[in-house]
Amino acid sequence: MNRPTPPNSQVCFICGPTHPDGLRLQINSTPDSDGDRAVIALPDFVAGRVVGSAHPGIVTCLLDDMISHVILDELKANGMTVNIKTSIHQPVPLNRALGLSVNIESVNGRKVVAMGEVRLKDERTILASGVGMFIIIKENLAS
Amino acid sequence: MSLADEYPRCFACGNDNQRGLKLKFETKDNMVVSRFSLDEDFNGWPGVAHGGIVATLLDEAAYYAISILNDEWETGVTINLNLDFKFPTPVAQPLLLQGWVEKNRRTIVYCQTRLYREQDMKLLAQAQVSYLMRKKSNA
Repeated sequence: MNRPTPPNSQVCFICGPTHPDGLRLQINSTPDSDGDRAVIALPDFVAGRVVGSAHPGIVTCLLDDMISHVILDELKANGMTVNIKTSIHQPVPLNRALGLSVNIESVNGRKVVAMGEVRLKDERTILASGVGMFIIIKENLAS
Repeated sequence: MSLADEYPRCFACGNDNQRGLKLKFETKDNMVVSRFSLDEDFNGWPGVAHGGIVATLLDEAAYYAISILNDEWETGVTINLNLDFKFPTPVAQPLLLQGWVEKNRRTIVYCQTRLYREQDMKLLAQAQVSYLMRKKSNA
């Protein structure tokens, strides 16, 4: 089931429900039967240079955002990205359902490492993957 | 024809993408440089650019570095982005983006890109970006 977007993400370009032009990614508190925490079809305006495909930076947006939310769900903490490595295995198409999954790989003090994948929802083909290292922060940067 | 004309719908640089970043690059000393401010639309947390938007900036600088500084490539795709975030990137403040080619390995080109706060040249984020490129038929 969808869970509420945290207060510090209300205007987030990726997941903010009050952002007028954002992607409004909705993230579930538990994985679905495919292991995905979210499903999204990317709109035309996030196109990259390959015709019909998303910009690689937007793919990184999805992975980064998903990892942040899964840290919040599973560790009850705000995580800030320190490093993220994204691998694009195939162009990520626009206007097709994408399944997004994330698993936390390790927690060492305030350091969290998580791995995410972007797949075609129907075919389960892996299009992109990423490993993010996040640091737990005590307070929202905006406060 | 400029790259922005070649990819008019590109989220990062396309002239016709009204909801995109509309980056413009110039060349300076074997690198590409872009000066701009991010709109608040590209927030992650309030006042801070989304990490993926920073990734978009650093990726785009790499492609422009490859394409503008070297005439042998026709097109290419990102295969790896490795980003380090040093400090949160503010929105609505002047930023400076740099990119240059680090090395070529046949059809894989490795670039370095940097994002600074322009006011004091504080390094906000950096990346190594790998592109798989296709050569022009006459190159």
